[in-house]
Amino acid sequence: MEDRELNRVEGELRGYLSSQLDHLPVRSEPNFSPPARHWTRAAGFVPVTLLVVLLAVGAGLSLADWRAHRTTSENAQAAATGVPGPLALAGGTPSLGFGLVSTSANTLLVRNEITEAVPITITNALPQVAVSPNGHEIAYWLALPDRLSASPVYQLHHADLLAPGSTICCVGMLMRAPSGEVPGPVVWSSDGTGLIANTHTAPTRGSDAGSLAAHASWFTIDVAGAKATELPPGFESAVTTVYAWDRSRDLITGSGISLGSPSVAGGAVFVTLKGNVVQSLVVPSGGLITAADLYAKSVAIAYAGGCKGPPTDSTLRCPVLEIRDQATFAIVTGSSPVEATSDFPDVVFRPRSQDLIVQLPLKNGDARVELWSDLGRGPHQVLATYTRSVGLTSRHELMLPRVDGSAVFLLTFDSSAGGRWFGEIVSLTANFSSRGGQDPQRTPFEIRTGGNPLASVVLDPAFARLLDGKTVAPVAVAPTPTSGPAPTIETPLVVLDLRIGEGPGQPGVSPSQPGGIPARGPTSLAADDEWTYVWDQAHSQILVFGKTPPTRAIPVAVESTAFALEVSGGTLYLRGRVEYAIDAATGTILRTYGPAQAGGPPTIYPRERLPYAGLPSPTKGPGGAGQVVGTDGHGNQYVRFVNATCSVGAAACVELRRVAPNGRVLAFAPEPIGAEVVDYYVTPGGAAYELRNDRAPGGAIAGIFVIRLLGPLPTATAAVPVCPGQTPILDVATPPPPGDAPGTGSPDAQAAFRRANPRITDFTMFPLGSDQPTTAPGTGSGPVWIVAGNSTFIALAPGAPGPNNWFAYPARFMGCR
Amino acid sequence: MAVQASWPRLVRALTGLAGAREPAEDALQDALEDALKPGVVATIERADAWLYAVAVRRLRRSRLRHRLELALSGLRGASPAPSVERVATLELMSALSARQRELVVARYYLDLSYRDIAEHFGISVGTATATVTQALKKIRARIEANPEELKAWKIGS
Repeated sequence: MEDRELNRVEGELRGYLSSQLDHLPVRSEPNFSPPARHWTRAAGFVPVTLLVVLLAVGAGLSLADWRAHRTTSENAQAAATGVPGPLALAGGTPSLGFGLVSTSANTLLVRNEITEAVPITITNALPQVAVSPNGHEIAYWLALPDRLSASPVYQLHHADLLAPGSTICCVGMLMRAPSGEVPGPVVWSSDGTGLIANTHTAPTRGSDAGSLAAHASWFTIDVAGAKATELPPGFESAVTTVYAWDRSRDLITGSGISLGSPSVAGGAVFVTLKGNVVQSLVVPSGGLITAADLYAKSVAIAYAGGCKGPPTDSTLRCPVLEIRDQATFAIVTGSSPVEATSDFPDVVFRPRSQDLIVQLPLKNGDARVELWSDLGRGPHQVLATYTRSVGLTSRHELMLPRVDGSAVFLLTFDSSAGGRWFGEIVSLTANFSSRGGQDPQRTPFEIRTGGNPLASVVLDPAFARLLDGKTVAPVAVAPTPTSGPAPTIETPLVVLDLRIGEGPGQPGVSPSQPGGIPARGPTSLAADDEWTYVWDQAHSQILVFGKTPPTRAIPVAVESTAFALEVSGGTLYLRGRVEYAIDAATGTILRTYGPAQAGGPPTIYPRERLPYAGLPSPTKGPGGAGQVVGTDGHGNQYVRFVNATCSVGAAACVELRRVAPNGRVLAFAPEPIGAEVVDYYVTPGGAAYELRNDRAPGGAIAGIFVIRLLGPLPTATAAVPVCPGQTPILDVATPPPPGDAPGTGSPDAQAAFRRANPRITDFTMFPLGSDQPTTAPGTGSGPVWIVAGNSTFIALAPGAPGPNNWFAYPARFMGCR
Repeated sequence: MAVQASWPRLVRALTGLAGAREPAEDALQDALEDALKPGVVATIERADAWLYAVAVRRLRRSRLRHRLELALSGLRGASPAPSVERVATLELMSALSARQRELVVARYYLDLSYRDIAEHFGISVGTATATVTQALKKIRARIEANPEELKAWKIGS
């Protein structure tokens, strides 16, 4: 009987395992090449006691590596005055704070990286678009009908995507194209104050079609004054492409085909215009200018050379790139040898830097994309490797870096099914990596709204301020913030992007009701270390998400208008007219409570849970208005702060701040724009999330976002004062004389700590001198060390043994002696 | 070729144990590198069983590695790397011990025989059989206590 029963369980277990595991994505393949271990992976087998030694060795190696290079990337960028250095405002995932400018059928579309909605549309625009170094100003050509002529009138316009009411068209005109000429490329000056624009006559005769323009005009334009000046004819006739304009050095650089000197007639030349002096410099034979930065610092020349030579030696290593100075065309760094390639590499400069993003077409048909720091002199990091697939080349047709230099879009155009751009976003910063920091973070990406992507832009005003170099000046809500280190800036991360629907894992929208009750989507969220919970009130269920699918749905029989979702110890809580405790595994209602009775506890929630919708209006303080939206287990408050200096709407210049009990701002994150906040949730560990509605253009709720604004606080167990054979040195903030009077304290260490720090609920106690935590309340005679996040305390019973002699004070571990 | 054919299933099995794809792939790739060492590959009769057993041992050690990486990231002053992608799997087996889970997955997902399991995990056939049977009894008790649980867990799968 039992055997038969177990056989049934075996069958169910096979089906269960298959249903749970078979759908999991597998992105790796076995790598049969000889092992090339990363040293941190090898270190995983070394006892932890050797950690310090390893770190020292690692630091030494890093130093040697640094010395081997002439300069580091950061030093080189610092030396290259005017190159601000890349930022890491987002990672290798789509960001609400950034967008793409695309062109489609004489229309420019500006869309968010995440949402499909197009917030800004510019009609009658040509695809020649330039984005300024600050990432939010664009210059573009409009083709407008002319009543007097069959030909359109071409106007160069300028617009700020973040300006109030910037659904822009036809404002900010800078110049008109000369009669009979058509628009060409536009380039911003490196300081963002000027433009260089091209117009040229259009070749019309058959034999001329596609050839060089018969006449090209190049203009410098001062954006503020909308003043255009034509450049000298000697420059105009020599140049077909302009790379950079450094107004501080009065230097313009470009390239073209030499038609002058017989020695270089028909050859490629690099052209500089400094003052009124035009200088043409011959590009070496076999070389091709592939990229130049907009700061007029460096230009990359690719050589096919031996790499493209006889295809017999696939292991041949050969130079492919040479970097030259844009002002002098002198060689800055020699060629970087790589393995044999089948063609010229593709190169783009990482924005705000002197790093290169290089795509190498390998001889076997594969392609590899690498990040070369410091013009190739620094480390070369592999970002991605692609294998040729049927019908598509492995090489990506478009490498489009994000404007802050934090990531690059690697996109391929698939002409089937109407055409689409697809590929992935790859992080360029060490802050966003996977596999324990070894690989860059990568996320599939597809443009489903059509159009061809042209450039990356910033759409979040807070990010834009950072790109502008204007640092955010956070203002503490507390009237007298204490001094201390500057707050850290954290980058919001989209944890969930859910579309409304009826499928598994999709939340619903409750219909609007008589009495002016609007349609409502999910209304609350909670999170713990592993899961994110969303209260889908339209379906009366709690959706549970891990870091990847599958999704779990927990049907719960509670009031549909419940709110304030909380999770603690495997139990979920919701609050309606009464409060519900719900088993997080089964959805079973474990307990209901309420309304609270006199003398009884006010709530069954394990800690305070503030529903955002029910909060009072923000309180005005220095620099703006703050609103507490949650508290972590260490006593820190989380404040939604609206900066008073912002004037572009309530959604802009909003930060979520982590404020210590002493009023100091520890960290903040600029809140993304473009969607309405529904709820906030702060975990006991200090991670702060928000739930946002994503509304379609018609106003209906199309989806929701869950965004992690602030990451969890680091654990501080290292601060436990353990000094084998030595004495720990402690800095204890005891009250001034006469101090606390014995008998006026608490009966044990834990009670003393809770009394002194009532807002701190997440802490660990250690008998002083031990690194083993204790759950005993601490009624012995020895002091107790208490760790709560980054804060440490000591509980003492300073007087003679007796009741209520325990007190707790802030304390720091200074070292051993 | 045998390795390539069984690779996805091994990754999924290990992902179920680890609760995340990346440590599973790391452990499996490490196991493969071990297999490719001189003199090792010739001793392997059944590649998937060998790789699974070695990768499971790697996973057990990963706790130490994880601690090390956390310490390194803190000392480098860098933001902690995003946590690996976790997957919600095998809650039905949450009451089992780690060893029971390993053997149950080997038996009922990878379809290894008790002899293969015993040989590659270094235990007797009797121990393997007993371990799996005890696990089945635990699971049966859990299902009987809440018959809807199995169904609920299949949502979204």
